[in-house]
Amino acid sequence: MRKGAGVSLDARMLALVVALYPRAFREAVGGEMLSAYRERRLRVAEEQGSPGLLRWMFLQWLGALRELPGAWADELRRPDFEPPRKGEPVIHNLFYESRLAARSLLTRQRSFTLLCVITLGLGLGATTAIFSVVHGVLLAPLPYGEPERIVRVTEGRWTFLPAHAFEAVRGRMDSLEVVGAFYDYRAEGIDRTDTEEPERLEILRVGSGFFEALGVEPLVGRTFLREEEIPPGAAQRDKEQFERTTEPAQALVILSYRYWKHRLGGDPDVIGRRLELDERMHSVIGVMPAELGGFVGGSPDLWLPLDLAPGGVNVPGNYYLSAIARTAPGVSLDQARAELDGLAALLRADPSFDESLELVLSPLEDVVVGSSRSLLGLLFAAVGAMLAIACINVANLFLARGLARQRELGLRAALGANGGRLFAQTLIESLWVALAGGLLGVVLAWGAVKLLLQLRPDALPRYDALGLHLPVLAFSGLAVIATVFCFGLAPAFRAAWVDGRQAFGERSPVGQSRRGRRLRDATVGLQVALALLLLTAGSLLARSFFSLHQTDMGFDPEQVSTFQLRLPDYGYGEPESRVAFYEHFFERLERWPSVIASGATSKLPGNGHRNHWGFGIEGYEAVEGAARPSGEIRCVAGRALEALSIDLLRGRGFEPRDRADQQLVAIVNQELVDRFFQGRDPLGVRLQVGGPNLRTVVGVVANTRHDPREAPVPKVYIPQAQFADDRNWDLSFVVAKDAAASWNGVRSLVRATVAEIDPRLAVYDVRTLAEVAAEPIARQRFGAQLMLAFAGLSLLLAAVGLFGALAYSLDQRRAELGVRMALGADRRGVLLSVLGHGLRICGLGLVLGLLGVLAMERWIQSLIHGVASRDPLALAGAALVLLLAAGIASFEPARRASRLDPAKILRDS
Amino acid sequence: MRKNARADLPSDLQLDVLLVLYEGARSSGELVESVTDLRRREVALATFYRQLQKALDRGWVGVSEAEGREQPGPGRPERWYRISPAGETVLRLEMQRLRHRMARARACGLAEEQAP
Repeated sequence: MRKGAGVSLDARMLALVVALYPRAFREAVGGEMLSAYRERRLRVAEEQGSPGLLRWMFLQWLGALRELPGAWADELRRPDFEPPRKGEPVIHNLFYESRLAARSLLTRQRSFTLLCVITLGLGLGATTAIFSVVHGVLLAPLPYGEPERIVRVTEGRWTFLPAHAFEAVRGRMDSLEVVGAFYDYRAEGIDRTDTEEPERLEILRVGSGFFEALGVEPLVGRTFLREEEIPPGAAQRDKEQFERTTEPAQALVILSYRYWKHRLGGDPDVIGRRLELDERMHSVIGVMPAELGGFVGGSPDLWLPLDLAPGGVNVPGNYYLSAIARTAPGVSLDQARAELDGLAALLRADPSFDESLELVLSPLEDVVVGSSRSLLGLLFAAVGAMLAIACINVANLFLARGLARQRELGLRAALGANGGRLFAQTLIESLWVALAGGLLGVVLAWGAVKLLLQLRPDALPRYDALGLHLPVLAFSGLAVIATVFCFGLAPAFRAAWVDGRQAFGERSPVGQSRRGRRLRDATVGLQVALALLLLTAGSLLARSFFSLHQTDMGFDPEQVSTFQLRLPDYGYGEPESRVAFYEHFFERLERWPSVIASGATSKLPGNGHRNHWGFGIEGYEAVEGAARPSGEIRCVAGRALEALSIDLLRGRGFEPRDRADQQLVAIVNQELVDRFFQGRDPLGVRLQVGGPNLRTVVGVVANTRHDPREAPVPKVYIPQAQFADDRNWDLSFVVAKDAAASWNGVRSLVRATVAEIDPRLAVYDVRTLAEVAAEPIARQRFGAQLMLAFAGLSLLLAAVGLFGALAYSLDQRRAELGVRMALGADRRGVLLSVLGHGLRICGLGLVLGLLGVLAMERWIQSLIHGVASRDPLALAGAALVLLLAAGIASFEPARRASRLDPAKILRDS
Repeated sequence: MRKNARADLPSDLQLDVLLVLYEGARSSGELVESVTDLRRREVALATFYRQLQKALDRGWVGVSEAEGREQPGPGRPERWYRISPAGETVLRLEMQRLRHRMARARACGLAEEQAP
């Protein structure tokens, strides 16, 4: 170093990197490298200035990091490291053995090591990825205080509760400490109108007790009070008259942490601040903390008070509320359920309630996790089986390698290495392989988790919690240790039993034992059995998914685009303005040649959501014990039924003449006719539905389904023009396009048409109807995709295992086969013998696998629909695929066996 | 049988080191400077010293402490690198190989004949 030159920070940091290089490098040239760095740095700075120096430093740092692995590889290849001497600490022995093992694996056995690491990496990667899902979805606690006390109260058939049933639960249940209602029947939005451009915000309407039931305290301010559920002047509201109720009961608002922090700058004096929402001033009364989760009612920007005053949507027979509650301290779920059952019985006896009302209490965790538990259990079992297959493969690879290394191990034994030392070295080799496999597994799991999130995030609850967190990595570490024991012990014991005679050509008696051979065959059979289980489960889930996918939903989702468009109350408060907008919009949209039909509906078919209304039918005679007429109501605008290709079976569809000042009409579906018309002609019959006025049935349409797993339900369709005074319905829009038109083209047309009519309106949530209709079976698809992927990998691993086992067996039977061929056995016979051996192992595996399928029958059945768990096609298909794979895997060893030269074998032996 | 014939041949950087040392012994710093000048571009020092260490291990380069020279500072005495007889042999073989290739290149018109 030149005199007077200080040591720069980058030179000091480079010294730290050089410290990571092997000692031999550091001692030989490390110091000189650092000196040269400092000298050269000064010269480059003088000659080239700062930009040149930066380029040079980048080159040096890149080089230092790039050469590091190579330097270690050089170090492992060096022949001059000394074995520990007697009396040295055990740690030196272990270090020496570790280094010996690493050198052996990285230099002389690279292909073997690579194969083992990839095999284990696949198994450990899949296990870690699925465990990250299991941890995120099932094991991580919900982010609420005492989450085990939080319960959902639902109606047995319709999930949602009518308001008076909710009030009964809130008022009469002693075992519930607090009960809160919220409205998540459909996602709601509101516009903030005191900004330059209206800002669209997601809201959730909640009653008092909602946050208290969750055990969440506001960060600042307070939550809603019970008296704020009733708006001022509501006492004068006519209970029989339907009114608009989309305005908040009180002009109060609670902010989410996200909105407060990012849009209001985390204003500490936010309480009392006024926000204009839909052109109405609202006072901020609280801010909720960030860790709210979003498992109940989603993650809105704002919470508004729920209107629970009688009238409006709050009428008996309208099932629209969700309820969340917290059990009283010391009260068990069973006690709360018993009290709720008693209350439901009392309500059923009350004529103002539905006589078939059922109240159900479920822990929130069950509601959130739902049926994912079974699916995740199956997937976790699947990856466990895959890891077991991988371990068996690696164990067999180690055993086969042990045979090839008999001379080396024998020589070491002859030179004085005891069994313990050989055991330790082989086990340490296994540990290295498992560690490398574990590292590869974590990398693969990281990619797999990213892929899972892209694949279908909404198929699983709590998907945002997925990731390689510390518990997941700890699990992966445990899995690595477990795999070492699974695949490392047998080869290590085998190495420990090697004796010095083997150095001089005698074969190990262990390798040739009949018991050892049978054990190996049994392990490969086990691999085949596990692969059969996975293949069967995968094919059953896939068949179930395709069966659901092909279910006739009663509408045609192809070529239909959907989107949301909310008409705000501040511009479209009057029913006439909404009717005019829809008429104008659809008329303008359908002028485009690529638009075949357009319309809007209060619920999209096939999206899994349900509502439930009671209604009256003129001349209906109730059968004793039968339920009152009830079903779902769809408010439709434009030509929604045509756009959805719902078949008109009788009568007519809605027409422009069906306006508010004309005869009130309705269209019903075939299920309603079958259930409530008892053979009568429905056309011309009047219904009392969605209000006090009677509507005449003018048409019957085909049934549609919400969910392919469920039967169709009765439905009544009402034209929006005759229902506009009920409320400002949030409608979902549907546009059927010409098959030749592109989706993007239709989206552009929709946006342009909306902007032309009212530029303030925002089109959002644009999707194809096929995507919407796929939602109810997203979990089935997710499960089938993963199971098939695991089954495919397992099949590959099992085939590789069978190939390895047969090759190993052939190597051991060379002498025997040589003698047999010398005594007259023909080549074809030898080929068939080896091939038959492989197929026998496969047959054993198939029998075992079949027993496994029978044992897991009930579990699998709970996850599939429309297919039996003993589906012969799935079972036979899986078995056939495995037999084929076994045939292919056995053929090469069999061919090699048939080409052995008996003279050479006899000479060698 | 030799597994990797290429493993016994010097790398480009080692060849440059041998060429420079053939001209005369060098200290570590001088060696870096000379090789940089020869290559007409900067060299990553980690790569350079890894290749130098390999050349030392293979016996192509020898090392000795400086004699009769002023030490640049306290600490370890400065070392001098020089080419060994084995290194010279390797260098000659490589040069011969390069000459042969140049001859082929000239024969097919890829490289121009040197002016007499």
